Amino acid sequence: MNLTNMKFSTLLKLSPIIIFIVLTFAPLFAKTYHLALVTSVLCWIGLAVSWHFFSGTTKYISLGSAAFFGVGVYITAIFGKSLPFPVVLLLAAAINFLFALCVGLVTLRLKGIYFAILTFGLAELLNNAILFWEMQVTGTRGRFVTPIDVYYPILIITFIIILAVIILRRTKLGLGLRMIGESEDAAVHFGVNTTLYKVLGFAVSSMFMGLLGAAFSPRWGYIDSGMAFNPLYSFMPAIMTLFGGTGRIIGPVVGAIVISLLEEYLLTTFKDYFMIILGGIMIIVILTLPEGMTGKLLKKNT
Amino acid sequence: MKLLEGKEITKHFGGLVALQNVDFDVHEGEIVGLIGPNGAGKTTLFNVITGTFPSTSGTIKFEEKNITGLKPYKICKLGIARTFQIPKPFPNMSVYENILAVSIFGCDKDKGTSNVKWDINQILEKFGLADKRETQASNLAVFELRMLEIARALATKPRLLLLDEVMAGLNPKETAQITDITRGLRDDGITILMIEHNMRATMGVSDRVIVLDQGMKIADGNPEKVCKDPQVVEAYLGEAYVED
Ligand SMILES: Nc1ncnc2c1ncn2[C@@H]1O[C@H](COP(=O)(O)OP(=O)(O)O)[C@@H](O)[C@H]1O
Ligand SMILES: [Mg+2]
Repeated sequence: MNLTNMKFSTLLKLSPIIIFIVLTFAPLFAKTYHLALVTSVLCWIGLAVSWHFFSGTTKYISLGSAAFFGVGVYITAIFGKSLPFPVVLLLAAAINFLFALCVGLVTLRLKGIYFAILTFGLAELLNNAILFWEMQVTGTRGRFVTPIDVYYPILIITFIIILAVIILRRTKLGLGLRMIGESEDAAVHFGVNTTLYKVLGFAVSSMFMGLLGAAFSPRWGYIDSGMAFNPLYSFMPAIMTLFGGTGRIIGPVVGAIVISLLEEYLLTTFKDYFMIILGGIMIIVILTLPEGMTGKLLKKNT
Repeated sequence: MKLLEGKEITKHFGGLVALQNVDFDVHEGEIVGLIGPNGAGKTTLFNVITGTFPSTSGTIKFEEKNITGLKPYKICKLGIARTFQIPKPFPNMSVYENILAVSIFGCDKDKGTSNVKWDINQILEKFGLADKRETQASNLAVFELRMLEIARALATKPRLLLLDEVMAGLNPKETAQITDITRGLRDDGITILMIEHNMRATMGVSDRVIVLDQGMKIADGNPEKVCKDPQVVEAYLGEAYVED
């Protein structure tokens, strides 16, 4: 009993490395369709883990992820031809970090539903502002992006994000964010500079999202504001994390895998009804498993 | 030495005057009781001291330094720690994590001139929480939660400890336990300002008592004198004597 348990837990600990190795060599044997699917799933995992780092932990539910993802998408579209790809990625990370610092300073004064609405509004505002700019000023709709295979960039960035979040959660920043999520009142009275921590946490989380957007952008070849700032990028990370469970990092990972595969399946099989079916499943899960899918399972195992 | 000093503290909530021109001080090494009927403004005074919200007017000095308007996290780091009337633990953290987290954030420097043992395990021992170390705070019983609330405040190495009705609703044995701890902390060099609704409980431990009624200070002095004060008796309408 003990021995099998030990084997199980070492296997569990080694599994990320095994998965990473398998994924690294996947292009040698996998079909193009499957690789494209894995790329999407990885991107969703990265987004959900980034969302979880700030919103899942602090309970400041952001519905503005698309704003940062979209800015990343556009940065690649704008600078992709003139700068090397890694530089573009770093640029996207830096710009999104600074952008989110400003957004955080304004929006994080609000709590609960107000914060959610304001962040959602921000993504929509960017979407429409860029659309307006393109129609009125440049007279174009969207932009071409030099297409490249983004499998490896997304794989590497998602693993870096997961690693970074695991490490950050053990730092003072991670602990402070956790205390804010548990009781913001107690946190601020016991030495946590809550404003600073919230703004920093939000900026780090948004930086990751921008990085993913910038890395994902070349896959489309052509982007417009509707694609870049698609509200799906705002809602999915939140839904995936709440579905998977907010207690641990495995929550958003599992949530992202299950929901993105489910979405893929429903989309190809039911086309028009997939959103309704997905919504129905979500409601059932949230009502029956308030701690998320991984909450109950992991409690039994630890 | 005056450790804490408030001058003309006034706090309005819209049209409601919760505190009106309250002057008070707390000397180093004292246990001061802050009493008064429900709604008198006691918790509001704690909130103003710890920076939960700013006062409408008035100044607060701690160790002769003006701390008016500072944010709560700064006040905590300066050496003032509090408990909440309705405990606010970090519910999904263990008892140990609750105290660890606070000791990481609440004290960057050693503020102590006190003899308290700051080791977390010793704090847990002192508050009878040693065997609840790994228990999630949300699973604690009322008394344990109260103990955690005090233990957590202590983990910030305060020079001044503000206790908000930590004995309310407890049985005599539990009350005695908290009274002992309070005295012990004072003997170890921590100054204490404690709110109690129940006058009797406060009288026993306090060196001095401050009485608030409808936002105004109506008495301030040694316990025997204060409880005979006609204004105080009237404010309570004999309530405190009926209660026990
Ligand atoms: N945050 C607040 N907003 C509005 N009114 C408040 C607030 N806090 C306290 N009050 C009011 O101020 C008065 C004093 O409350 P409080 O300080 O909690 O009394 P107590 O002496 O029982 O601790 C009460 O009338 C209460 O309703
Ligand atoms: Mg009160």
